[in-house]
Amino acid sequence: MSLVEELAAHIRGASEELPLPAVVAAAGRLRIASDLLMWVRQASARTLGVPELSAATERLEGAAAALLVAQDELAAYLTAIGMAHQGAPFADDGWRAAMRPSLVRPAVAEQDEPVAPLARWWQERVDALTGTGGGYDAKGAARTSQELLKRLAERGDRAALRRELVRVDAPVGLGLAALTPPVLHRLTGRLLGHQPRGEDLPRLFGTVRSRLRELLPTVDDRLTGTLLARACRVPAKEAEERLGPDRYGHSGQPHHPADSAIAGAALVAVLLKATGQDARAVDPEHPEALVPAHA
Amino acid sequence: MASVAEVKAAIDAALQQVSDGQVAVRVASEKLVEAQQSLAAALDGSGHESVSAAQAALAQATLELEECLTATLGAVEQAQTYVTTL
Repeated sequence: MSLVEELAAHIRGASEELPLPAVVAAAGRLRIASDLLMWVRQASARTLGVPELSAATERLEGAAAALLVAQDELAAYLTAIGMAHQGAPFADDGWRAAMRPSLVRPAVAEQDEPVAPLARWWQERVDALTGTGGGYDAKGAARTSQELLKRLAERGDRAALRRELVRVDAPVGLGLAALTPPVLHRLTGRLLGHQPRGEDLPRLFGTVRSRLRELLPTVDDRLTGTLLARACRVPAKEAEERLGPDRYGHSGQPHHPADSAIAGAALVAVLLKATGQDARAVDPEHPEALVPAHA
Repeated sequence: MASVAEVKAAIDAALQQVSDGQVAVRVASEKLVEAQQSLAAALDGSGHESVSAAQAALAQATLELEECLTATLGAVEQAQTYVTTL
């Protein structure tokens, strides 16, 4: 093994050891805790730490995005020093792993841990974002976040989006927040025809904003920009510079914990339509799933 | 109608989840420090912009994890205080 090969192997090893699974697991735990506390506080003026947990979860989402940025930059470095074959493999497989139920933590509904009966806050938040309302029928609900995302990907209209989202309990719905970033990364690359970069952010924002608002009329532009920046794996500082404070970050209060999950899934539906693909594109077992855009 | 016992049980369950999350964050922080040290040793002397960007991203991730932990501590304190008032 040459010195350069040894260096590349070392960098690749360090990159693969970055603690993304631990960060994703921690975010999952905090989302469950938020669910429980939000149920408890329904009728109480006390916040019970829910805003702090929302902020903590948002920090974890930021940490996960930063780790992905670091992996991409290390892959770019390996390519730059002529070791592209060492850098390429960890660029794009995250979405596939995220969508395989056997490779991710089970949905909360399938765990042995006790789950308190949750009130309707998740459904109410779906209605607030979709600008709709009506009854809640849990019959036929998706049992896992992966199944839910596939169903949402099959249907691109607001009524169907609302119907599938309000059927599920909060833990299954909130799980979308962990699934969608790698899927969105792949879809934005597909739309652009190249790996998404910081300079693509304003154009992407312009492309998806009105379509996303057809599904979620009240979604905050800052959340849309934040999700796109994470999808493109753009560092927070650069994303803020490129999108500005009205299209990135938040207004001082963290976004509602359900919003990232709901808007992320809606963005998947928007990007599938924009790229002329259907639900097969988010099925990791389907041979036509997200054929590499630059193969 | 929910009872005090049910409310306490729900808060206890939430606090257990937070505790598990804190453990995962601490594990992540330790691994991140190891990765930063390993990469710093390997990439010492490089002026490549991708190296700088990767190191900046890792520093940001470290900061996010620290702030996450701080926020969870505040949440736990509030929830525990509430339990004492029940």
